[in-house]
Amino acid sequence: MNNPGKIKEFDVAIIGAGPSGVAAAIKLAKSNLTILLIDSNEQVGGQIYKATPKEIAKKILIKEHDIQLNFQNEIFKYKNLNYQPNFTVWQISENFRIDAFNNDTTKTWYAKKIIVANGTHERVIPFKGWTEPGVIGLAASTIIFKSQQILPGKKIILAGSGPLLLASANYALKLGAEIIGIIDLKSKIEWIKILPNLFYNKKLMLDGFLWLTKIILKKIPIYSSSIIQSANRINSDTLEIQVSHLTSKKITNLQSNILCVGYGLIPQIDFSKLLNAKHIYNQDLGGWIPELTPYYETSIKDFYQVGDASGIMGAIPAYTKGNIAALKILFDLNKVGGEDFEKQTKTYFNQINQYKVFAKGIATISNPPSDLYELIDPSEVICRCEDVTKKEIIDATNLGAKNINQLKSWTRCGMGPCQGRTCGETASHIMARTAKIQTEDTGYLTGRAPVRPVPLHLAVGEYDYDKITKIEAAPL
Amino acid sequence: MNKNVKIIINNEVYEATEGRSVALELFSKNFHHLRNSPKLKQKRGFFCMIGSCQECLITIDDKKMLACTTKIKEGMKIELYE
Amino acid sequence: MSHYDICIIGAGIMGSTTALFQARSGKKVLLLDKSEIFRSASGVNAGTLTMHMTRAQLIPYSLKGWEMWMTTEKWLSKNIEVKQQQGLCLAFNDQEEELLIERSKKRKEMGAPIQILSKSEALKKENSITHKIKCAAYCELDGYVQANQTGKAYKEALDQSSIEVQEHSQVVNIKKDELFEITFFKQNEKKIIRSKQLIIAAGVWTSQLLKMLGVIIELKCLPQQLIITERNAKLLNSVITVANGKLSLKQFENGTTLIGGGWPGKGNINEQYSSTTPENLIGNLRLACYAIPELKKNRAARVWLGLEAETTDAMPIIGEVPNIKNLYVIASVHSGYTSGPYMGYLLSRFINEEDVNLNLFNIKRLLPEYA
Repeated sequence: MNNPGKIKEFDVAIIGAGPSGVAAAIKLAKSNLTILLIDSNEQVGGQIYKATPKEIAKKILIKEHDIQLNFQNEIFKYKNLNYQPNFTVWQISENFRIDAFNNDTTKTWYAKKIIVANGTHERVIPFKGWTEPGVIGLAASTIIFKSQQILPGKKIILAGSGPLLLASANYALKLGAEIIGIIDLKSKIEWIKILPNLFYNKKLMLDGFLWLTKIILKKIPIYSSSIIQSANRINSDTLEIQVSHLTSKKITNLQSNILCVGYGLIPQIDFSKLLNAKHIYNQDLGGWIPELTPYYETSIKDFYQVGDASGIMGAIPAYTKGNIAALKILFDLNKVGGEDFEKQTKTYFNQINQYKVFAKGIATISNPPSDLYELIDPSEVICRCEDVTKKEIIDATNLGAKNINQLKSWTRCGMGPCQGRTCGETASHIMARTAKIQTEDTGYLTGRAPVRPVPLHLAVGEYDYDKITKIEAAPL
Repeated sequence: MNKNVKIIINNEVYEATEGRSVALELFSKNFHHLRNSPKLKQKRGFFCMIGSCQECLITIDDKKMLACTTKIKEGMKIELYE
Repeated sequence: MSHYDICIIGAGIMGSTTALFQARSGKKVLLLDKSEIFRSASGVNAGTLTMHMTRAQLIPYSLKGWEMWMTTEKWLSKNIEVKQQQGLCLAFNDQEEELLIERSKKRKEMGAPIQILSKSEALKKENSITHKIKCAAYCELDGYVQANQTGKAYKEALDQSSIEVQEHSQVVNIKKDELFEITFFKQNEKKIIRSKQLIIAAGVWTSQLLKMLGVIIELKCLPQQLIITERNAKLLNSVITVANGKLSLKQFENGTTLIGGGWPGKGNINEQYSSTTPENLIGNLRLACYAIPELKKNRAARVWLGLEAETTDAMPIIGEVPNIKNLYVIASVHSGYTSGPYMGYLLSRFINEEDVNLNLFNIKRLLPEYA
């Protein structure tokens, strides 16, 4: 019913052209399968290898740009690889009908198999003033520096947790930023404790040390075991930021033009929820992820999920995961023989296993402890789209909402345009702590289309009244 | 080199860098405040930069668009909160 | 083993309202739901209160139900967002105009204050309507309630009552001797209770439960689609429907616009999961944007589905079940939100042997042995 049979079906559709999507696309395109690669950006690379728009001159050169260029060149080599940039997928239906839109138009495609490689979004922890313009995400800041090649303000404060603090500092410094301070949730001891894990990826570890050395040489203050207590705009240029030490409770007042804050990344499971895949809660891998076979197939046949969307491990394992899913598909379609399949499997799985220890270290140094949510003031907005406060969430939980969908129904938390992506995890933790249950027992918000708000004028297109699908009239 | 183009923000003409994210161009011109939150009327600006949080939704050329993922083009008409 | 005067299975609008009135008449009430209260049809429907879409025969009940909705502080002990709005039912061509006039006439005969307006009159009432209409039916007594809010309001009322509410309680067996013996599982723990009277108010799961007592009726499960936009500036001052009944449109105080009309998706009683049919999603949106062209400037934020029960003759089943004393049923009221609270109120009075006539809704008519 979804496909009248006249519309061409791709062998595989890949959603997301970050490292894992590109890896899968290239590997599959080398056989003669028809591949569709859809991405919301105008060039491949995802968020980590995000290209600078062609119109903008590059101020700083970084290695990610070279990797991005390689990807971009590679995908254009294959005639059977149909690359569709600038399209945001808003719906995937049962028979893998894919609907997407951009600012001007909509498109529909069909595929026999799907690989979702749609990456992550930022983990936030609300604080007083976190919704003030000028307070932005930490991963967001890396995109601004690397891709947009601009400093939104010269004076910058970076806050949150994990390696993004160091990475962002590195790019900001290249652009000439004045970093007022780096506010790290974790202590220096916690960083030292994960050093053995970092040895499993010597290259990234070395990068990290170089970034740290730069920061120390520039005498940038690092506030360890600290969080942002509040942000307050005092004039059109300046934010006043209060930093609080977790144990001593000492407050430090700082000023900057922007504040970049984030506590690690959360896998995006919009599509896997939409198609009713089974999910499991894995804190180390970033929270809710689809239940996956070793070849990254979800519980829905022919629907694979790869990259950080299958669990946070970073860009290099993401590439391998894309290869693994592609390998399985090639094997299922008899494009790869049994022996070759076993050999490649072994290689890829070894690569992944090497990264697991490194990834665990990163998770430990990035993920906030759940009691951090206690520090959020009840008057603070948790759901930005609908202005739902922590108090409202607590009250609804005490009234009897123990499931995040019931919470949504009663408070509107998660009902806005972002459909709970930004607030969902925070709301779950608050509910769990109030009801004294496990975070995962609050469930996750039911996945529905559109996965991104779709402009109605594009969704409906041009049509006559007679052409509107007819259904049975209601009885009198 | 970066190309300067003319755009309109709230009925006034400005120069902007072609191809840059609208959110960043607005921010650099001190247009931090893009819209208001629905109940508490808090000032909101861009946050995630990847088209996820929907905070930077503004009107561009009479259509609702996300400022973070939209690029500056010559003649673009931008309307912020009333 | 716990004993109750009356046990009600299904904590949606029918079950919960009946429970409240039964408790107020002094009975010891147990209200069971296999999930959480108001999470099925009653929590996710369009919330339209309209005479235009109500079955002609149900108009008198909808009028009473509408009155109850407008005075929730009297019986629900809580104000929720209920709004009276004029209702306009649109016809786009000659055929529809004929249909509209005929249907409005029947509804008017049953007591609904509906009048037919010309195109220009209709546009004066609601200027966002397309100029492509032929005419419209008009009723002052329409409006809406926000379905997702009613669950919270009912929870507060239930908490203040003496009713025992058990969520996540899946009924697996019902036996009857003198009393009903009801077996259910709550968090993997088996529980058995006894009750003098039993009401099955379980929406699409009603036939499953009736079957446990040997009562076989056919109930269709209709997965109905709903679409909501983001918040936008005020555009609509009316509840909009169309002649063939397949569109409902309203804009809430918060600025979001809810589009419904009973376009089907995919879903069944055995699975939590439901999904939209792309053609029907686009069709529903096209019809909505045809009726209100300005709507195209909005973005759709979410599409979901609710499961609606429908009997073979599309009329409700309310009342006692023949040959099983003290067994009652209330379900499949269809466009049931408008009359919902009133139906629950009526059933409660019926159970208390007050002078209430529910013959129109007697389940007898659908039972094979009485055909």
